[in-house]
Amino acid sequence: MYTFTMLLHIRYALSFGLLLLAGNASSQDLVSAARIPEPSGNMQEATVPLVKALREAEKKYQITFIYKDDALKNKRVPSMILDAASLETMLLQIHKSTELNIERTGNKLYTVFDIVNASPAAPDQAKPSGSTSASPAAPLLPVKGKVIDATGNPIPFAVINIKGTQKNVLTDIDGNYTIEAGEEDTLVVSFLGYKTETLAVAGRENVDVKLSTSTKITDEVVVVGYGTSSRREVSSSIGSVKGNILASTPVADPAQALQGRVAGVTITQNSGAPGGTGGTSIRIRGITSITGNNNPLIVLDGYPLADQTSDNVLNAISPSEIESIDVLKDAAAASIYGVRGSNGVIVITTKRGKEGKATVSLDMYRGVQNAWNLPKLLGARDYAIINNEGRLASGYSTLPKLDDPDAVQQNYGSGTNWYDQVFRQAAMTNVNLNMAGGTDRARYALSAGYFQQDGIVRRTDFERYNIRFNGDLKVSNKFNVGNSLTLTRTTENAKNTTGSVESLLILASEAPPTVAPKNEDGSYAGGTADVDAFIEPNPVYEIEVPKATNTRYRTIGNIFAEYEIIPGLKVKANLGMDFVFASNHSHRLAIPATGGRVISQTTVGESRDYYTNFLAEYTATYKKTFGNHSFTLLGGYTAQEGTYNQLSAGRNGYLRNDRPTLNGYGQPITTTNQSTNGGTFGVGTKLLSQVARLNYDFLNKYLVMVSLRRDGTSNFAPEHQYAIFPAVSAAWNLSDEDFMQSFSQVSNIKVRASYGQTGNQNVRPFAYIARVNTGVGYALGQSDGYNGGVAGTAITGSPNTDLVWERNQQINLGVDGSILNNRVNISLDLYERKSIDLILDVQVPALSGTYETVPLNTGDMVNRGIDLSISGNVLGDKSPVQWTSSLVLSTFRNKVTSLGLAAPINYNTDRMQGGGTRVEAGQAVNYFYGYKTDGLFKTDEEVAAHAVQTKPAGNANSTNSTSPGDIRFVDINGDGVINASDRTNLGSSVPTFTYGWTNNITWKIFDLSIFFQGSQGNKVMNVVKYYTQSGIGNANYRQDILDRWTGPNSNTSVPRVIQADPNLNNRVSDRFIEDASYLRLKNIRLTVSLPQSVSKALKISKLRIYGSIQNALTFTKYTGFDPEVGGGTDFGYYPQARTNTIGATFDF
Amino acid sequence: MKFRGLLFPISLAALLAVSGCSKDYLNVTSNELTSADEYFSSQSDAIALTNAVYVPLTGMYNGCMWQIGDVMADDTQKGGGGPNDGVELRQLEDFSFGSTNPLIMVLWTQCYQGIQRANVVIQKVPGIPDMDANIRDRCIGEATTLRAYYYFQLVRSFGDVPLFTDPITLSGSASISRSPASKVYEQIVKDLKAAAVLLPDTRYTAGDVGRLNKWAAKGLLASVYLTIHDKENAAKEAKDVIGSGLYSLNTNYKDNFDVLKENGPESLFEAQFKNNYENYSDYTGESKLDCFFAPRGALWDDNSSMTPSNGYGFNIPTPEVAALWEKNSGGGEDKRRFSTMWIPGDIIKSALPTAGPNKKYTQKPLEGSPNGFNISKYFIEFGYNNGQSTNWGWSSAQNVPILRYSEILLIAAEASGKADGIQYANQVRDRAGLAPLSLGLNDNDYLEAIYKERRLEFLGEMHRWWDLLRHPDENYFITQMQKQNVTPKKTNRFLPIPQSEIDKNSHLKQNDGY
Repeated sequence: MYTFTMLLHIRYALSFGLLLLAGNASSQDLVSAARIPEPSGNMQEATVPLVKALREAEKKYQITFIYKDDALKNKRVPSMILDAASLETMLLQIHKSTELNIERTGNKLYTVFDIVNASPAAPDQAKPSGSTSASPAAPLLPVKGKVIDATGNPIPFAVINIKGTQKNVLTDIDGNYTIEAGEEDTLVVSFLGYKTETLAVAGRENVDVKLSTSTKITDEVVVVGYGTSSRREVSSSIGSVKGNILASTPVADPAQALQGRVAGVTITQNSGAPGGTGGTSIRIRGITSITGNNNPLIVLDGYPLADQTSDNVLNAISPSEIESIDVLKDAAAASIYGVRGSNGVIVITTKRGKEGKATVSLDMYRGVQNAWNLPKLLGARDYAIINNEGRLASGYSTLPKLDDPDAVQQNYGSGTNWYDQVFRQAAMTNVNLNMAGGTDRARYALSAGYFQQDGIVRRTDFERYNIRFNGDLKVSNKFNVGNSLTLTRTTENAKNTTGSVESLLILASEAPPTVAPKNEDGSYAGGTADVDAFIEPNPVYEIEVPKATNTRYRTIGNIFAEYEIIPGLKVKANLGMDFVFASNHSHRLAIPATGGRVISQTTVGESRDYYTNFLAEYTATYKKTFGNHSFTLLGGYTAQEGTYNQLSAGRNGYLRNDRPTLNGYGQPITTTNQSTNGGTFGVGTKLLSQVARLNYDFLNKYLVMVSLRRDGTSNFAPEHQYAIFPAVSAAWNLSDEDFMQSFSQVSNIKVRASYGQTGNQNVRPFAYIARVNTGVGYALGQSDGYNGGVAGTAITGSPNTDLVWERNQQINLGVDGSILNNRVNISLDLYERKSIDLILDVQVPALSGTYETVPLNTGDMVNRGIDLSISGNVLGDKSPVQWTSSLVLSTFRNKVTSLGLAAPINYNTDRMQGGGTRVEAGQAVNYFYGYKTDGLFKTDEEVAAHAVQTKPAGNANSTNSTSPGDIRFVDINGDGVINASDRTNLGSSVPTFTYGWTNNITWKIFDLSIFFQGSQGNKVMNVVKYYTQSGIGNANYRQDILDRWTGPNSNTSVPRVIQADPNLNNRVSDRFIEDASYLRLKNIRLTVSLPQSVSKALKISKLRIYGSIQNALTFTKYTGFDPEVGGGTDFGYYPQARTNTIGATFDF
Repeated sequence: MKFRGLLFPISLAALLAVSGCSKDYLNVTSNELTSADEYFSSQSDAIALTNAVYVPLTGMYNGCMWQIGDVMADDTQKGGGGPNDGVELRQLEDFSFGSTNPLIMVLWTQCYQGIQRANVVIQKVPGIPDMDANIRDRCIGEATTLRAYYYFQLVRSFGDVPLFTDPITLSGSASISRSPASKVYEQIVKDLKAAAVLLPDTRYTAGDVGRLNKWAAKGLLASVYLTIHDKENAAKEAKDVIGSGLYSLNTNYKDNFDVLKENGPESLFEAQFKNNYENYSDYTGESKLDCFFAPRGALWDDNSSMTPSNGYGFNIPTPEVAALWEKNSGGGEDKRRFSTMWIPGDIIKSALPTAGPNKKYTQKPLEGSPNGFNISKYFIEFGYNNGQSTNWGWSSAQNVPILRYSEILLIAAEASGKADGIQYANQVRDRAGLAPLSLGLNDNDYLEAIYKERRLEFLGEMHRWWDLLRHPDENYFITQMQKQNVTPKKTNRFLPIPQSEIDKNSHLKQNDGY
């Protein structure tokens, strides 16, 4: 597609002049006025005859040119054309220097046209001699027709060839052609980027042709580190997505749009917070670090962005600005990024201008979002019944307010529906204006965008403005300069939707229906200790009173200059800057309430974060071809440095609330504890690196790549700052071998193998420095309270000066193939990646006099996996309905092979007792660790026969000890007691496999895309279920509590209701760990391209109208809000909305 | 990290192109990265480093000293909520502990923290420029005294221990071996002698109250000499302290345990605490003894709770020690008894005039404290100067005495022998309202009398276990403990080296018997 559009634009630019000359272009009409360029005496460049260049190209690319010898005889082209990176580049360069045009007119067949004369090579004198079968003598009649694409748009300059002859004509700007043909002749219609059609004339006077796009993967250009390559020449594992796919998803964050599109890339949206501000975790081929960062390196237009530890770094970039995203998956591809490459690399390329007429495109959509799955909670009457039961079972008296459920029903009806109080229907708007164009000397792409999204949780929203300017300037034939520039501002109003204890959705799930959000006079209400015995914060108060606004400005820009010193040798300098300025304001006003948790003191917090990052990069590339051998050598030198600075301050102690600023009406701070959280912070990182890469290609069949990167990083001790990361890969284009020609079903097949090393430096920077702890105070001087005593300083941690980056070694085996005449494309990769020297915290000998753990390179982990993608044209080229479908599937197994000197790591779950996640050698990282359940006890005898679960202080009875209706926990170690040593592996949040299935169905003016995405085998710990099944603090319950064990109802898995929970039914166990596999109809979108008659009437070139539904359907057994939970522990995170959008795209 | 415009990367590139690579480029500094190497530069740094050498005392007196000094010995029993409440403490009480006992680990850990910090002060402070010479000497003297103190705790508890007087590296700490106890004692004596020269010979005032001075160093030296049976030097050092004239006995014994009268005339060395408001930590500067020793479930006579949320009732005096109190000459009881331990029926005077009438202590017999006894030395009644303690939450500001003048007197009494020493013992008895010791005691009875005096004078002050060990009869601790129905093995004289330390350092050999 890339190549095609490029040529198309060239052709448009030339079209007018051409048609004036050509009229109804047919070879017979042409006036032979061959325009031979002046001998290039004034040019300093070395030139070669064009014919020689074409012969070279025929050899190099195993193709054949059709041309008219005499028309080309005197033409010369710069000799550097011979070293062009790809065939496409070469053809483009020939076009530029000769004004000849070259089109692919068949499989491995290219025809050279003299554009000025709009003539292909004259058929009768053309070579090659191999195709000279004469046409049968028959009367020739003019045949007319129109060539259109799948959406009905005309294809100008398509080639109409009469089969078996070399008679060709071109279509005009409206796609019309006329050719003299016999009744029995067959027309071969072709155009680059489209599939060739063959039609019999069969006596018709009018033969219309529809061409469908070619999906041949080998035509693709992929971006590799420090350069580009054609897909055919790539020997490592790289996954790619085009920008139009990303832009068709109504989200702010490109990372969300990437989900399910690339095999080997597992993306979890951590939260449905507007604008993607809740973060998206991107994991490429598994998990590589235990204590460090697992985020991939992101390279934007050649600029490796600094990791800002947050996951939502991409929401500053509008998906509509993106030309393509390439994911460097294996170490051979990522190794060129060295110490930052361990987690894979995501290379984002933004749209650049193309030579030709300016294009202006305006896209806008509006959407409406709704929560689609809210758990069902109890109404007032049921709540009273269950709460009374739970209190009586515990030996407590019932709450007078709830004593009589019937009276509760009368007084409160169904009660407060807290989800209604928290959620809303929310709007979103997106407008994007893209402009691009240029001449052969200067090209530009401009875009401006606005995105606004209200959250489905009240008073949460996100807004983004973005502007981009990408320019390219050809100063001379040898000297090019250009730039990329992104400016964005994002503003977010956030609420606590991620906290593990007081997230709004937990609060809304807990709050009893018999509690009101507000009093009749409009003041805030909420639960009270004496009446409701419920003292958690009132969610409505928490939504409306505390406020947090985060504004973030980001500028990412780079300029580059490229100079060709001698033919084939180019040097390039690239200088860039990335500035982030974030301003965070929060305040909590002391507004009264009659219940809940009242803010009694107004507090204000402000922080300003500055991230600065600078890049200087110098590369040299040398390409050379000797006969059948071709080399590309890259050498480079880069320096990059980043700093993070923060200034923060907070205060309280205001006389009035209406000016929540730090100075607040100039009211002075009078006591020290009115000022809080003041501080500055600053830390920097620098990298100094050299890169080298050699690509070798023999006969375009055998490809080898060797790369090396030497990185120096400031994160480690001076004696351990430099590391070398090597990689090697090889590929074999098997289908080009003679012996494969007999397998006609196989159009393309390439096998690949690679090995490489990468590193991860984002693990405890500066841990090598022996730091002092200034907080070791002692109470000298008759001190009493907090402020007593004197300051003390001690070294409480030992440095580890030998600490280095974590390392990663990856082996990849892959095969890419196309079968059935390119109808089905398959790509399969198998990989094994070993993470070694993992940095873990190790307990030190107490004898050292220090107590902080020391980070040590110890511990290994392995990920083994398979990436599979299959795409194809389901109904075949000839079908009037075109259906392209692509399936990506990723699966990997993770295993911690060793923790070295470190102990197993336990992460407890907030508020829940007894477990959480654990890292242990021999298991998958972060598996769920807790108790296994075995149904409920039905009788006292069963309790007595089982291992001891509770040991009450006094006499055991049903209020203080294990009783029928309680959960039977499995005595894993068989010691007759249920205690911490009975905890076990309850599964992992890592999916068995994830998949995405993209479908595009085109029929006439309709274009339907259907995208399914899913995850299988991942477990989630449902903490919301814990909150809503345990009755802690007289909280409300989910409706499934109605099926609780009661004695008469003993055929259930829901334990008895008892607030005191003497059996610890609510401990971390498989009761709360659910299968969160899901299949999601992630996006369905219908686009209608209005007929040209309509768009012409509107004086625009093209108009498309579309409607889509994001998160249309979700199939899952998970009982929480949303099965997609970052980190696998669901604390009631902001669920993803279902979004209905309608929009339109105008091309002017 | 200064950036000078775009010139920077360009010039950098030019520079690098010429030089190949710039060594300095990767040097990064930050205000968050206070490196130890850069830190030791001023007098205030020296003082702050020295202050931190005291800090392990707070962890020790919360976390291991009473458990080993009192509960493991015959003075007290565990108490608390019954046999399973505090298993690690019960193991000390019944001598079933092994090398993984966490309380023993606390002693080891805290002492080595103090030693390492002292080593840093002693190594770095002499090189700090522009310091007041007196402050420099004081800092080094304090660190040296504390180092000796921590080694003393280790050597008398574990026997041979690793000895190092320079800051130890991480790898050093994983490979060092134990030194003979005699070498450790040699270093302790050397340190305390050196410190006595460096430290001021006056008492501290204002914000420095609580630091160690010359007399504290000499007092500790007396105690060390007594432990290694060098009575001559013990007597000499103790008498030097007495001769300084800076110390005297509090007339009222209770004043030694009054949160408002800390660091008083009798105090040479105290672990200093502050109220940290319900931090529930042994290591953040507050004492938990108020909460831990307060009577469990105890009520006043009006049935109100003595403490707002109950004490834990650990560290319960044994009936054996409770029976040792003598009647005084006037027929009343030892004046120290009420300020040391409670017996049900005690009338407690209201601490504050506004807090209402006097109240009676009625302790119900509990599984942990069948006789209703409790240590009263660290109890702060609710309402009594709020701010010193919140009673619950391990948040008491009350210091724990480590070396009191009465101990100096009793060391002098023991080390000098009866003829010369009895006068010192009688000063202590006199304050308690007791008759002088009889001049007719033989040497052995005299020693036993001093031992008994120490036991009662310091009940609940975490001395007893080591007194048992240093007795001339090396089986004394066994015979004494048998009165509590436990029979320690001979090898129990020394605690086991913590197993986790041996796991990390194969050169550490375990003590016999573990």
